[in-house]
This record gives sequence, structure tokens and C-alpha cells, in this order.
Amino acid sequence: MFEKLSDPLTHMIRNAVDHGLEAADKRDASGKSPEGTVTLSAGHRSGRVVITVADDGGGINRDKVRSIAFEKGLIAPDAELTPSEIDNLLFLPGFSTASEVSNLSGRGVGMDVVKSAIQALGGTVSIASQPGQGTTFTISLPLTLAVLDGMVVEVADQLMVVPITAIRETLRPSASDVQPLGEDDFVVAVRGAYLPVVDVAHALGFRQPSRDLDDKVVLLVESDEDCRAALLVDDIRDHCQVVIKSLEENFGQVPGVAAATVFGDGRVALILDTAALVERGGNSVTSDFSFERQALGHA
Amino acid sequence: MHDRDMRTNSTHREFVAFRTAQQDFCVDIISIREIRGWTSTTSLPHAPSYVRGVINLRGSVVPIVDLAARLGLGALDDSERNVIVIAIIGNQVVGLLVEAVFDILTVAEESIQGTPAIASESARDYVKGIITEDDRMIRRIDLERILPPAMGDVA
Repeated sequence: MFEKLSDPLTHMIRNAVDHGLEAADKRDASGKSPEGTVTLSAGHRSGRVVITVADDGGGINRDKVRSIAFEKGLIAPDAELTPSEIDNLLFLPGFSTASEVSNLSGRGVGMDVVKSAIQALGGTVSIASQPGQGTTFTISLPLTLAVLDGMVVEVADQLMVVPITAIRETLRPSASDVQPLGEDDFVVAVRGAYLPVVDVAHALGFRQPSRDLDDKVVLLVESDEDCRAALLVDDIRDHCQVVIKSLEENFGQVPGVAAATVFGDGRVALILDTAALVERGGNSVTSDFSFERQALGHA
Repeated sequence: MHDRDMRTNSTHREFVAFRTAQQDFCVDIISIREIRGWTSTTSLPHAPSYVRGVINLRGSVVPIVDLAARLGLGALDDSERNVIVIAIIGNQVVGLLVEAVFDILTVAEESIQGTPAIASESARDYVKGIITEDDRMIRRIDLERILPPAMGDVA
């Protein structure tokens, strides 16, 4: 896998240096240090490997991207695009903003090649850009042959695994700590702060939201954007190391589930994607169970 | 005429025949990897109702499709006598939950009949031919159609 990653990564770093960072005089003028920084980092986030390539350059010149996309006939002249939609135009085939070929880039091998290389590995690439602050590319790859430290929890009579790196704290709230907020939502008070409660069984569509919070356990989780939430599960059973098995290979992606694993007794258990649960849990509580999904026969 | 005779002699195909929801079906033996006894499944969130869940097949995670439910014939009752037919569809491995596997058929290509046009649209979607064997009508299933159509490119 890492061999297949080296080309796209090299390309992204070249891009960051060549397109991302501004020239020294321009950086000086905008009050930045004349030396630019490109940061390459890698980490582990709920069952996926996340690699970021971040530069502190000028960010994506969205007007320029737009006009190039229009010139190349990739968008309609009157298309109304959000900033992030414009940023994502970079991934379209045939798109290249460099007006000249430099010694680093501009040979027509665009971000679309990077994107398809990452997708071939079962991953995704996303882009985030702040004008004047820089651009960050995030690659998220499934962990295929790796071991994960997890907490085994019980949710709607099934055992599931929560990556231990995502859990900050576990607690058994008393009835007075949990307050309703709105129609179906709850918050839990933890040392004076109110955190949204995501009922895992409901977020996964296994049952209606639970109003009876006795005997339940909450796991305080933190996703990368420093957004804290409380995942409500029925019980904590165990702590163990599990081998990550792909669910995408034969089925497809399941929202809220990062991967699967096989326990010692041969049973399959799901590994939860806490970030996705927190992100989507808030929306699903009031709507029906139908998450957007793509499964079995995704091509 | 002579050419045609040559062909009937050489092209025999083999099928695995099984029964579910009081109907007989068969699938090309090439796409069947193995037949297993019943194993309990782990349910998948947000999966269609005919996806029973996933099982562990020697370390890989394989989804189980209830064939009867998939064909709109009602869900198969849980029973330890049910059988899982592991099939390879494209590059995916999928288990089909059926009542029983009863035969391996060797059939001349020519004796496979087309699906009668009178059949409903949905039946013609899955059934790609009919084989007669000792008074039994055996429906040949198009495995590719067993997988639901890709649900669009959702992000």
C-alpha cells in the first residue's frame, strides 16, 4: 500500500510547494515569514489512517480556479458554486491552474490522478482552504491489515468495538445529569459542560431513541475538530485488541461503521466510526433512519 | 445442421440447484465457491431488509443476502437447517441464504428456455432462463441482479 501512496504523496507535496506557497516577497508583503512551511502528518482516526499535507501559503485562488474551469468547459458560466465546490474542481480530470511549467510541476498530471490513485486504495481525498492561510489536503485510508486497540461495548444486544484512541472518558450518568433538549435530543452534563448525546443504537437504525437512560453508559469522544460528544451505549464489556477486517471489500461503506473485526469465538463485530456517528448522529435523531448509503454492488 | 449438432454435444453447463420460498432456483456452478451450514449473522446498520448481516468466512467479512426476501417472496424463517451458498459476484463474495441445496444439474445449453414473456417485470429481472428437470421447473438466477443497483454516487 505504501508503495502505491508514494506517487500521489510526492505529487501533493510538489503541488503544495509550487502552487500552495507564494513567492518570498509576496509572503513578506502579507506579513508572513518568507520561508513557507509544508506540513506532512499522519495519524489514526477511528479505524482509518489519515494523512494530511498542509501548506501555509495563499490558499486556493477561487476566482482563478473558477475562470479556468469555465475556460476548459468544466462548469457552466452561471454555475453557482460554494467555496468548497470550487476547491473540489481541482480534482476534475484535465484541470491544471499552473500557467507555466516549472521545474516542479505543471505537466498536466493533475489532482484527478492523485484522487483516482487514492480511490484505488479504497481511500478518499478532501481539500480545505483558507484564503491567505493555506490549503490542507486530507487523505483518509481504510486500515486493512492493522491491529486496533478497542473497547468492546454492547449496543442493542450486539457487541461492537469503539477505537480506544477516540474515547476520552467513560461514565455512567445519573438521571439528573441528562437533560432533554428539543424534541428527541438529549445533553449530558459533565463537570458543568453540556455535551450532545448520540444514542448509538438509534444512530445505527437498530431501534427508536431510548428515553430510559438508566443503566446506560456514555463514552465521551472527541473528534478531530475538537467537537466533543457523548455516545450512549448499553454497556461496556471488555477491552481488547482486534484485527481490522474490511467491510467495503464485499459489501460497501456503512455510515457510522469504520470496519469490522472477528472475535475469538468467530463472530463478526463492527468497529464504530465515532467521528461519523457524532457528525451524522445529530442529524439522524430527528429524521428517519435512512442515511445516504452506498453498499452491496457499489461499482 | 451438422455444426449445430456438434455444439449441442459439447456445451453442457453445470448448475447448483437449491430451494427457497417453495420455488426451485439454480446458479451457474462456476460462480459458487462453497456451500455452508447456517451461521448466525451480525446485523449491519442501514442495510436493506434482505441483507441479513455479515458472517466470518475464514477471516473475511461476507454479507448474507436472504434470497427469498431479495426476490420479493417474503423473508425466510430462521432455521438451523438453512444453507448459505457462497457465491462470487464480480469481485465481491456474497452468501445467499436458502432453504436447501438439492442437486447439481448438468444441462445442455440448448435445453435452457428463455423466461416466458408473461412473467412480471420483476421476475424477468432476476430469472434469466428456465430449466426443466424431472417435471421440476428450475429458475436460473442472474446473480448480477441479486445485488441492488448502486445507490447513486453519494458522498
